[in-house]
This record gives sequence, C-alpha cells and structure tokens, in this order.
Amino acid sequence: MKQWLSIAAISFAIMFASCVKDEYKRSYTYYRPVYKTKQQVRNEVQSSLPRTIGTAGKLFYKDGYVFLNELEKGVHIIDIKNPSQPKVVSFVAIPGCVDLAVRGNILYADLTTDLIAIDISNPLQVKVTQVLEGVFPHRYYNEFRADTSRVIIDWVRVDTSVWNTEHVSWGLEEKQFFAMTSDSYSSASGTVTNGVGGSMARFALSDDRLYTVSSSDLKLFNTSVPEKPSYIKQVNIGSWSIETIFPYGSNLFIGSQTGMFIYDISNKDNPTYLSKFEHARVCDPVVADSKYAYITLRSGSACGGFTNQVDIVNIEKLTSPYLVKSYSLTHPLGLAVDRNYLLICDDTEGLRIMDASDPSAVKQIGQLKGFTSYDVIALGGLGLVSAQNGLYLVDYSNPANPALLSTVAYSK
Amino acid sequence: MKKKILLFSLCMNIVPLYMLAQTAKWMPVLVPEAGLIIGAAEPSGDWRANALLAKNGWQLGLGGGMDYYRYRSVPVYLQARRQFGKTKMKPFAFASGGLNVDALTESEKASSDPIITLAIWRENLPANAAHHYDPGWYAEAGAGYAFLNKKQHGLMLSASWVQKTTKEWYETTTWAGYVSQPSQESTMHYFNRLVFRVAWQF
Repeated sequence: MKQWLSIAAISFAIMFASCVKDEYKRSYTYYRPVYKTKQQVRNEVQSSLPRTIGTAGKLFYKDGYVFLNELEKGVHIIDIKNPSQPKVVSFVAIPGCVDLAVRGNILYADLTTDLIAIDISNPLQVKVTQVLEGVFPHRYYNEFRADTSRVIIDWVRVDTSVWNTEHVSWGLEEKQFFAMTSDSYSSASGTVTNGVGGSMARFALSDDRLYTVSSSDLKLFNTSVPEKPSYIKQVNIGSWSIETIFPYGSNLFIGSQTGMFIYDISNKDNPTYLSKFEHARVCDPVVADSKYAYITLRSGSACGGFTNQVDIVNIEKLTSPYLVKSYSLTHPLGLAVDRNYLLICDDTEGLRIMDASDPSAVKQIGQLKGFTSYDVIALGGLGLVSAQNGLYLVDYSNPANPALLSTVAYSK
Repeated sequence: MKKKILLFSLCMNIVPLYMLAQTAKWMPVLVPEAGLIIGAAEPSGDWRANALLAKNGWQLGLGGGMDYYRYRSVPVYLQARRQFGKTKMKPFAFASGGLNVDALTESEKASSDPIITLAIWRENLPANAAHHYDPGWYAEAGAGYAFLNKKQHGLMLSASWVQKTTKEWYETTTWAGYVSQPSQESTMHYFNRLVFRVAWQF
C-alpha cells in the first residue's frame, strides 16, 4: 500500500506541478490609428458646408467669428456677430489639428507635426498658403507615440483579449505601481489684427509673431506676412510639462504643471526668461493683466495633484512674482480676465464670475450653471464658453446676473 | 489539460447521479474538511463541508465552504467520490464542479493587492473605477486515502487540483488620440492550485 501511495503522490505532483499558476485573460478595447501620407492630407485640407460639431477642443475669436477646433479633425467657423443667433458657417478639414490662431484672414493650425497657414477670406473656399514642415516634431498621445512621418486621420476601435500569467511569489506579492504618464489674447499690428484665444491655448499671437509651446519648448514664427509665416527659432523652457501660453503686453505667461514662467518679448525674436512662480504639481492655465496673473490649479489623472483653486499672483515686479492669495474652487479649468472680473470655468459648476477688484478679497458675484465648462474667452460683456456639450454665449454685462444668450450644441 | 479535468469533473458528477437514481438504498455521509492551498501566491487555506449520499462505493452530493486563496470566496459545487475496495483503509478519487462566488472581506476590498484592485493598478485604472464581479466556476479533481472504521467513519487525506475563477468588470476610458471614450474592460482570473486536505467522514 505504501508503494501505491508513493507512486500516486509522485504522479500527482508531476501531473499538476505545471498547473499551479495564476493566469488571467484581459479583454479590452483600444483604438488603432489610421494613417495617410502628409501629401494626401494636405491635398484634403479644404472647407465644406457646416457639419455637426463632434468633440470640440480649443477656441479662438476674431472679428465676430469663433474658430472652434474639433479635435484632430479641423476647425468649425461660427458667425456670432449676432450672439443671440450664432450660425455655423463652415468646417475646415485639418486632420491632426488641436491648436489654432487667427491673424488677419489667415488661420494658423497644426497639422500634426506641421504648421499650416490657411486663407479663410472666404470660409467656404479656403486656401492653403503655407506649410512649415516638421516644426512640431513632438506629438504626444496618452501612452501612444504616433508615426510622425504620416498623419493620423482616424482611429478604429479594436476589441481584443490577451492571456497572461500573474507573476506572484510566495509570501510577498509583486506589487507593480506604475507612474501615471503625464502628458496632457492678443494684440494688433498695423492693419492686420490678431484674434483672441482661450486660456488653454498652446498658440499665442503677439504683434506679428506667433508663439507656440510644446511640452518643453517655445517656438517662434514670423507672421509679418500673415499668409507666409516663417519659422524663427526654438527656446528651451527648462520644463517637461508646459501646457498653455498667454501673451499680455510685452510678456508671455507660460503655464506648466509645476508653475508659471514669465518671459519678456520686448525683443520679439529673443524671448528672455524673467522668472518662475512655482506651485504644486497640477494642471494650470494662466491669464494676466498689468498687475496680476491668475492661475487655476486643478487635480486630475493627467496632472496629478490634489489642488483645486485659483491663485492670484502679483506680477508688478515681473522678476519676483508672489502669491497674493488662493481661493478654493471645485475643479477649475479655463479662465479669462476682463477688467476687475474673473470668469472661471469650474467644470460641472458651470461658469463662475468673480469680483477681483481686491485680489486679497476675491468673491464670487455671479454664476451660470447647467453645463460642464472647459474654457472661456471674455469679450467685454460677452463670454464664449466652450463646454462639454456645446458652445455657450453668455452675456455677463451684468456680472451678478449672467444670462445665457444662445448655444451651439455639439453632437455629443 | 484543464479542459479535460473540467470534463472529467462533470462526468464524475453526472454518471454517478444517474446510477444513484437506479438504486433504492443509499446512506447519508457528511464530510467536513480543511485544506492547505499551494498556488503561485503565498500558501493559503480553505474549509468545506460536503453532504453526500453513498452507495456501492460511490458518494455524491453537494458541498460548499470558504476559499481564502488570494481573496475570500465561497465555492458551491456538486461533488462525486469513488472509494475503491471494501477494506476499512482504501483509496478514493473525487471531482467537484460548481460556482465560485466572490466574498471579499472589507480589508480585501480596501487593499490594493488582491484581485480587482491588482488588475486596476496594473492597467493604470483609477482606483475608484466602477467595477463589479461575476461569479466564476469552481472545478476540482483529486485522490486520497481513507482510514475508516466499521461504521465507515474516519479520517480522509487527499490531494487535488482546484481551479477557481472570477471575472471582474470595470468602467474605464480609452484614448483615441486626444479624445477619450468610455469603455468597459474585463479580466477573467484563473487561480490554479494544489490543495492538500484533511477530512473526517461521518
């Protein structure tokens, strides 16, 4: 009997030793990019009749028109000369576009790694006037690095499953903690005027220069001949988390996840670093006026951090900015400043209007709820609010009682 | 191999069930047992109780208990046993098949280690991602040796291969370029273990 037991035990051990493991089958969805060559894409840059607005991105305003980016698809041109009855005029297909600016009759946009200049004199018949190749070599997607020699024109959903063995060991489990990958207004010159951008912009026009920021550098373009922009140079900012750029006077205010950089552009082709105002690691668009910079800090998966507030920073001495006071908010995103009023997009709380005449005692005086706001442009009483489900035109001429004038709805 | 074991497990339950239906005499048997679980992770344990009907060397019935490997779960299963020989001490083989229902403790739910949260960490999902479990299956095949007295009561030692599974679902977002889309992902876990048990047959 002992012999039988021994044989059974050994057989059992051999049979099942390889079966003692923990496995899992993960079923998930990913999106596979569909590429086209750059030449194919350039040939397809054209305007068309208005179409439904899908996933909206950044916005720009110029002379009664809103230029609203549809992420990686192009730009919707919306006539808001009558704010109560906005009208979508046309759609300019620009594959890979996420940033834009308008100077004169020229729309500047990124066509993935290129800068493209488009004459929009006739929004229904636009014309490409210039393409600067490869000026934006870095294009980051969350956890995905695109083939930058081609252009992504669409994404195809793929459902898949993979088998894996869990690597666990006796006594102490292998704990694998992954760091979350972080990615993430203007002036006039002669007879050609610049448009006004939102606070989330990575493109900024100042005089006859276009300044753009990537995650780590500042690029300069000469737009003195608007339809033929030329690349000037690149300035390393010394940060890997640059998010936004805001021009005011002869300065650039650059928002990063760890602070605000101030550059002097008195010599417009040689931006000079003046100072940095540091804050906790969070997402932070910035706007400014002559005395103060206003920075919204928000927590989020892309930026980390646990701070949700607006910081008011004294910039009277640009080389040594200092914090005046912080005010807690829900989850602030884009913002705008108009005289003594701050317009702040506070996510699901809609649009807040704050009286900032006394920076040490800022208080909310008005609020418009009912939408999830993203970014805002203030136009002296008219607020253009980019929200999750539409573009909201808000009359804030009475800041204590902002009123919704109209909405351009998105399809989702 | 695993599919064969699962098939064997099912057959072991269904064939004797049919045979039992053909006979008029049967005896109730209760078998509480405790096991040491050896798997890829740290050793753990389980306890179970089997309520069986015995006839002509066959035993079959229902069982249930608690399985603490990686996380707490409740297996509920059909079980069939075959005892060989008519002596007091005899070998036996058995198989079980049924459901494995998740029953995480509060500390396990809060922990970043076991099961669901493990997968979440690995896939960089937010810790508060909405998720839920589906019951998995429970399958077992093994053999042992019984030391019984005249009344057929006594000690039983066994070793078996046991698989418990669970499927976790969670809501997440998937990026298509700069646009995130809501999506639902799932992870089916298969825990394959060897279990050494001590039981007492009443």
